[in-house]
Amino acid sequence: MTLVVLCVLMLAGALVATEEERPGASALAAGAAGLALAGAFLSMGAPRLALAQAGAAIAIAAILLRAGSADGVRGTAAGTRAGLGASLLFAVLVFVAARGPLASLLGAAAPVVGHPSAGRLAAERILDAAVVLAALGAARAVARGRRNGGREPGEGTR
Amino acid sequence: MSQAALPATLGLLLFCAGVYAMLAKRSISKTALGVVLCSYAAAFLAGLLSAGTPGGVEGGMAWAGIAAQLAAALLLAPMGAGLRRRFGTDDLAKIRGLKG
Repeated sequence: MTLVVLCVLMLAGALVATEEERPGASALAAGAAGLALAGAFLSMGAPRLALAQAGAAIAIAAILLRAGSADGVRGTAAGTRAGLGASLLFAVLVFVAARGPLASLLGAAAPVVGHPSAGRLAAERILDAAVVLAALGAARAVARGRRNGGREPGEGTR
Repeated sequence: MSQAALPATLGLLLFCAGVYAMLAKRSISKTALGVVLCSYAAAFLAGLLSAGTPGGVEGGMAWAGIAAQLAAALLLAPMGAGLRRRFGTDDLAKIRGLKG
C-alpha cells in the first residue's frame, strides 16, 4: 500500500513538473518526484538505493533550479558549479553508505601479513580521508557558485 | 494479478509522462526534464524487479538508472541554458526556424 501511494506521489510530481510553466516550481516538483522514488526504494527494502536516489533527486532539483533561474541564462556557469557541488555531495552520501562493503573489498584486495583485519582498517582510513576531501570539494564548489551570483567568470560589474 | 502489477503500471505511466514531456512540449528545459523522468521510471522498474533478490543484474540496473538521471540533468540542463543564451528563446520550434 505504501509503495502504491509513493508511486502516485511520484507520478503527480512528474505531471506537475511537466505542466508547470514556472521553471523553479517545475524543478522543485521534479525533485519531489525523485524523493518519492527514494521513498519507494526504501519501502522495497533497499536503503542504499534510497539514499543514493535521495541525493540524486536533491542534486537534480538544484541543477534544474539554477539552469532555469529567473534572471535568465546568466547563471549558467554558477549553476553548473553549484550542480557539480551538489553531485559531489551526492557522491559523498553514496560513499558513506557503501563504506562497509567497499572497505571489505579493498581490505581483501590488500591483506597485511600477520594482521588479518589491518588491510580493512587501512582501507577504512583511506575511505574516510576520501570522504572528507570530497565533502570539502563539494562545499567549495557550492560556495563559489553562490558567491559568483550568477555571473560568468571574468564578467565584470559594468 | 500479482502484488507488483500496480506499482509497475504506475512506473510505466511515469515513463509515458517523460515521453510526453519530450515530445509534446516545445521548451528545451521540458525536454531535459522528460529525459530525467524516463530515467526515474527506468530506475524504479529495475528496483521493482530486483526487490527481494540479493545482488543480481536488476539491482545494478537500478544503480545505473540513478547515475543516468544525474548524468542527464548535468549534461542537458546547462546545454539548454546555453542554447537559450545563444538564440534568445527557449522554444525549440523557433530555434529550428532560425536561418544561418
